[in-house]
Amino acid sequence: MIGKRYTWIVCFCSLCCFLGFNTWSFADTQHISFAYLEAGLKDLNDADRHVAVQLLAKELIRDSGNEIKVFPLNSMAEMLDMIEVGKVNYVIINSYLYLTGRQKLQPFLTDEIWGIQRAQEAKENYVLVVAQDFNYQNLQSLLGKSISIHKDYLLVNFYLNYLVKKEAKLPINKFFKRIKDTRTDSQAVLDVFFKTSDSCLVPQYIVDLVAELNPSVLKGIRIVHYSGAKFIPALVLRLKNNSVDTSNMIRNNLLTLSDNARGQEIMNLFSIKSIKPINANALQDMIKLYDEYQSMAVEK
Amino acid sequence: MLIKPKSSIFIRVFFLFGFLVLAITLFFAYMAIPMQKDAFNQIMLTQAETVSRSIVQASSDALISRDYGFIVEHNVEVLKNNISIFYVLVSPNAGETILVNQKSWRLLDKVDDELLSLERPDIIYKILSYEGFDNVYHFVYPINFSGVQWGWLHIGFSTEQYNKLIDNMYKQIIYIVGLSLLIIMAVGYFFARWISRPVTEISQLATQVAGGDLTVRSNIKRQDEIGVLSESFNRMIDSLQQSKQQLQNYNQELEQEVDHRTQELAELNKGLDAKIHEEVAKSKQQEALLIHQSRSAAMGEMIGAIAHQWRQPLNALSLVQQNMQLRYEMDKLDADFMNISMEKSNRLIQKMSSTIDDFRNFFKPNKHVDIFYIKYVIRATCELLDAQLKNHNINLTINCPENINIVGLEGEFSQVILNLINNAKDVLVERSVADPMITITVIPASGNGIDVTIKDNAGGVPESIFDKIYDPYFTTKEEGRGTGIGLYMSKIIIENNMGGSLHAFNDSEGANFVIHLKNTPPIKNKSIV
Repeated sequence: MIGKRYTWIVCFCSLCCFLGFNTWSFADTQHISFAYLEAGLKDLNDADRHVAVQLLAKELIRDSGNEIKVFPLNSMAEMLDMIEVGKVNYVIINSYLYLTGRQKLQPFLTDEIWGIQRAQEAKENYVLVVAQDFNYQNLQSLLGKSISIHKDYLLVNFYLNYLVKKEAKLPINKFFKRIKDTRTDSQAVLDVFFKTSDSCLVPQYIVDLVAELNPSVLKGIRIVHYSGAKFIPALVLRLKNNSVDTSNMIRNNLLTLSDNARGQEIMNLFSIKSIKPINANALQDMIKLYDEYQSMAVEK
Repeated sequence: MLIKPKSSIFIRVFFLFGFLVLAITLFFAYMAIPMQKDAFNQIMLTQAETVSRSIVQASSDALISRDYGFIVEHNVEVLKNNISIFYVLVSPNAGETILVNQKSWRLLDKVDDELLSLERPDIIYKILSYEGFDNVYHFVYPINFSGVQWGWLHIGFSTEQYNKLIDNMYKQIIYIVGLSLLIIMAVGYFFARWISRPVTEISQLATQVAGGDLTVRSNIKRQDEIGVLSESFNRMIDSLQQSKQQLQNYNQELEQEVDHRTQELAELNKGLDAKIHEEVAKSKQQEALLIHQSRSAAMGEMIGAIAHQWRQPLNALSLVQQNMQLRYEMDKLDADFMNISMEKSNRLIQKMSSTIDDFRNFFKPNKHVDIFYIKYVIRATCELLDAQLKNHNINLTINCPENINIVGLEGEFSQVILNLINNAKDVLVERSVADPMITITVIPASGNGIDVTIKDNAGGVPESIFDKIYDPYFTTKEEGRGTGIGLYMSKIIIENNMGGSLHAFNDSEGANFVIHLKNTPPIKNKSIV
């Protein structure tokens, strides 16, 4: 039998071991940081957006024991600053912002890119919609008319600028009499249906969505231009400062995100269908358009 | 003997307590249900108003500028975020009427009449069926901008939540009632036990006391009325015990006293028989004496009556003798006068002799009960007093049918008649009544009996002595002139020996003595002899 004194000693040592083990365990815990630019995620309000990104981040590192940090950022410059100091592991970014800042981002990026999909197809096709009875011949028919557009949808906005610039050699604010910023893409279509606007530029799946709610809408509108399936709305980018284990873990979780109920819920928060891995070539259509637009701007 | 209660106080208190609590609970539930329903209604109304107001506010610019795209988009989003809203209908005074539901939206040519009737200046709601939904809480909100009516907002809310709340409320009430019942049973059991146990205990103790056990005591110590009852009960038992002890002591003393008295009584009894015999003998002697005295008195009276009866014939006889002597002295006494005088004398002597026979027969006691004719006896008795009555000018009338007979003792009856007539005669003479009369009336009475009434006109028996007239030795006559046993003996004879009754009453003229006789044999063992 151990005497009373020895019992106390044994307990004390056990406690020290326990604390030491936990301290060692804590030392092994990693922080994984996600940063996102708020621009381009305006569908959710600020509070919901941050919560949604946190939920996504947590889901991506689930069961790892790692801690996450989520940084909402206002500008590309801010993001680049954080990336440069290694504070960020993953970036969620609107594709347009990626296009604008890819030169500076490229050195920090790996070739692991994930594309966010909102429609049935991986790439979105933007369509120009006018009222059924509108006398549309070409883009010039819309000169001095009104257009509805969801401005937060940066890529759509970019494409409109590109289109107008290419066809009419004018900036959109001079081409159109009125540019109405709608709260949602669907509303832009409805504006055309209700003849509140003469036209709108929206992803095609939006037209399909609107028609689903009210098939008679299709009788009031018609699509006069297709961009082609070129656009990926947003990207998840892995930076180079990730460990292999972390990268594998997050990759696996991203792959299985749409397979579980929680993942589905998170994607519903963002109104997205899935997050799928893409290769760099998938971005070439957008990059080409962007470069072409830039060159047009320089030519002016 | 155990006294069992017909119903337990425990059960009564238990059920009363339970009933009261349950009644109160149900009452409050009954009161609470409508209040709660109103509250839920109010909640729904408030929610509906809030939703309507927020929709209108959020889409006010769009409503004014008729930005239908925004209106549709906004309401689609509202419905997406509120599954309890079935539909939203925007009904402007002018412009497109838009109906948005959970799955789609469309433009309406016109609003249904039922919904149109709800478009009023104030908010209104109605439960109706619309768009394939039943029991829809259809809320109509007027849209006004700067006092100008723009149109109406119709919103169809699901009543599922409301119904759930109502169901929950009912469930909660049932739960509360059920819980109350359980609590009632538990609390009621202990409460009823708390009330009834001491009462039951005291009741059982009381039963034991009633059975005779005075050693029991109550151990209940409480500060309330039951404690007082317990204490009082114990004191009562103490008092009972003391009383019992006292009673036992008294009993003992009483027994001793009784024993003593019993002894005395026993001793008394020993001499009592002898005394009784002595007294009976005395009584018989007295009775015999009374009879003897009565007889003597009667005899005395009779002798007086005889003397009276003989006075006249003796006078007449003396007259005959004087006439004879006068005729002899006048030398006119011849054989004819002698014969006539002798005949007269013989008749007078014969009459005097028959008077003695009559009196002698009168005093001969009857040994046997026999039938006799009343009129004959009365007449014979009256003849004995005829002279005296005539002497005092007392008119005697006898009203008696010839054929009335009676079974009895003839002699005793005669004595009674004689006594009554004598008394009447004496009082008529004493009071010097003018035109004195004695009337004897005999009439049949009920039950085959007869009534013999001897009536006088002397003014009646004074009320002060009415109840004494039958007492022995009571008389109103001067000393030496009456013995006071005549009426006593008459009553004895009539009532004891002849089985009848004798009573008297006064009328306006005088006293009436009524002898009522039944026509049955008298009691034989009460012979006066």
